[in-house]
Amino acid sequence: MVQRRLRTRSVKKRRVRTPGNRLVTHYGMKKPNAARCSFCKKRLHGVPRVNTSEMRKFPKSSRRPERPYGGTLCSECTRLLLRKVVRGLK
Amino acid sequence: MALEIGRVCMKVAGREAGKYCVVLKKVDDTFVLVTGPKELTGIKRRRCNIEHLEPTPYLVKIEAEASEKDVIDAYDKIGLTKKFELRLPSPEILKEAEKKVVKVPVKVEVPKEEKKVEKEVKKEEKVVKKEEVKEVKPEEKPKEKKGITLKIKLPSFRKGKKEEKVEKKEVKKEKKNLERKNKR
Repeated sequence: MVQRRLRTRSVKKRRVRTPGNRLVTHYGMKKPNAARCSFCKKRLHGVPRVNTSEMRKFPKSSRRPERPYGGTLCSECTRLLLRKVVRGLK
Repeated sequence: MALEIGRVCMKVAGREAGKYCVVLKKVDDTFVLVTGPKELTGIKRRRCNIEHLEPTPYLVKIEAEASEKDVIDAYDKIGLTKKFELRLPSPEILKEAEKKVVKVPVKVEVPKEEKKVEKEVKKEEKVVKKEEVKEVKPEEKPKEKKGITLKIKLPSFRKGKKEEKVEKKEVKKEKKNLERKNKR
């Protein structure tokens, strides 16, 4: 019998053929979606695709690029944004 | 707005993005010498691509390759420190910074042509006369020394990085081999 807590759709299941020629299900965590730029919806570089609990084990500098808006905007969109800010100065 | 000497810019790319800096000198068609200064805004004295800069309407009165103190004073005269909400660094920090900073800019700007001339001069030394060499040396020597230190110290050039990677790989291989031998 499967453990009670594993009988949800939030758990990722995988069928594995064992060396004794049996079919076994392996249970694991689901991966979150890849981080995307909130402007252009591109995939972000430098943001690892892991659960938040595992993310905390990384040092802060390897969780996202070290620039303003790093981890939320892509590099090209930050350039556009900063350029807009500067052009508004008087 | 052009990127003339004294133009205040914002860096748009990289980890220094969103910070202000001042143009000190034109190095190349694509590159420009720039400082924050580091004690004021956080951008250190370095070469910077023009595409990574966005010029602001402000101009600061400085000479080419001005020292960090002069730049900070020039900032303060116009009242930019208040506008950008920057905190002025203490004089002790500035003194320490000046010692470090003086070496950096000169390293960057040594053009390639001078190095070729040096090599030719050295060849002439062996063959022809010593008198000519003496005339040439005192003019060029100070630039030479700084240029040479550049090559070794700055790892940011692409060639240097590749070499480092190769070296690291070799070191790893040696370590693995040693471990295997020890096991046997």
